[in-house]
Amino acid sequence: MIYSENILICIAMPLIIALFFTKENTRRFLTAFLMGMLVCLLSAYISGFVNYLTGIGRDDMAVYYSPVIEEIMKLLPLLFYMFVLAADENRMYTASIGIGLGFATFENCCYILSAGSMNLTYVLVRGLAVGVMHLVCSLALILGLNLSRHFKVLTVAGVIGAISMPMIFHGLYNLLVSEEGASSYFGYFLPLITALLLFVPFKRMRESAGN
Amino acid sequence: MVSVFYLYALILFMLSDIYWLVHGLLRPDVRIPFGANEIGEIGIYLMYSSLLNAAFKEEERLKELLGATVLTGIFSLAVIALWIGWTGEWVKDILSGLAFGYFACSSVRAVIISKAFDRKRLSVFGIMAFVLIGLQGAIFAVPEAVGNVLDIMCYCIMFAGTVWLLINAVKTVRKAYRTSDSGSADDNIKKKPLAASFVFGLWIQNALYMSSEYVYTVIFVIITFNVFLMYFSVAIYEDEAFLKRGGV
Repeated sequence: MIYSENILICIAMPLIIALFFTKENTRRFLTAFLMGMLVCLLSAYISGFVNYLTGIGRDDMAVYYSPVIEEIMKLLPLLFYMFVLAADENRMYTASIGIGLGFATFENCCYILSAGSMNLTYVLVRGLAVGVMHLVCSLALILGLNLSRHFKVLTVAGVIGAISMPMIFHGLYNLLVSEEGASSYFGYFLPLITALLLFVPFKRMRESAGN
Repeated sequence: MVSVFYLYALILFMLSDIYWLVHGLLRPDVRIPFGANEIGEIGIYLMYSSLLNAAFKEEERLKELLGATVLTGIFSLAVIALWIGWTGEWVKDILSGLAFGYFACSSVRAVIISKAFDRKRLSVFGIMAFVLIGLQGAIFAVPEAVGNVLDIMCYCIMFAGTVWLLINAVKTVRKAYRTSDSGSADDNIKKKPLAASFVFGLWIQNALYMSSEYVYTVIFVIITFNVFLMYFSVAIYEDEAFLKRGGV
């Protein structure tokens, strides 16, 4: 058993101190990164609670409900940033990447501390598959939100439409890796392939947002 | 950019289908509970609705739209009741049904605003939809032998509607495409395909949920065809939006 809260405190402390010595984009990214780690911890609490309530079991929980809970939790700070602080597209992009990476980093830290880091294959899977999957989900989410905002359809329907993309991608990844064999190998490569495919459209999107 | 929005909805559609397929292969005996896949489906309806609402937001004909919206709402509630009757899954069916209902309202609203259907055609469409729902509901209450006859009648209405709306959508798209260069006196000429193809999408999606076995597969193929039809209609609409902005 590990104490996730203690791990969060340990990793977050230097980052919080660093906030006083940084500004603008770096500070925004650090804040989002911290938020991502916090959101990861809260998602774990909620997933545990839902598992207890439904009695669905750990494996089924990971396949069916965790993607929903985790992506909603990642969405909430972004919605706050978008609607309350009226962030523009570029800032939303930075925040989304930060939250996704913070989430992935904290989740990986907890898994590696509990399972050990002796096996290089396992560590690579955690880094290149799960880690990148959270990044891809964040990119998909921000793309959906920015598109909805661009077409002035950022209503409840638009937000749910946007959040459903990362949810289904996350759910598909978890489903693929839930069974051993060819499907799991495909699942491990899926986030990396998707990230490569997303590189060009996102480069264009950032350029157009910059203009 | 409208096509980018549509592409986003299409990727969602693709991922949802891949999830369904992978789940069928990896866990054939497990029924998918309400989770990521269902939210993906809800997301597709909401993205389609958002696209239609973005395209048809300029016009306001509240009185004209009110009656149709109320009727579509009643239709959606009846659809939700049917789904619950078939599956017994309340939460899943209510949430999916609400999103489906929103898509239905947006599609019918688009048809009225763009005048893709005249009043007579709209009435025929509404009557067919309500008769279909009524017959499906009646199957629960009648003996099995009568139920089988009603089931066949439902399939007849379903396919008659599918053929009619498909031909209508294809014709509308072709007409708009042909007049793209020459110009037309009809202001809605490039909006009509969007409304016609999406309302056909609504009908065929409803037909999919009412089908089983090989009919389900046939309808799935038609849905895939309609994805391209919808794309063409989005492309034609985008061209018009581009012209309106003074792009040429």
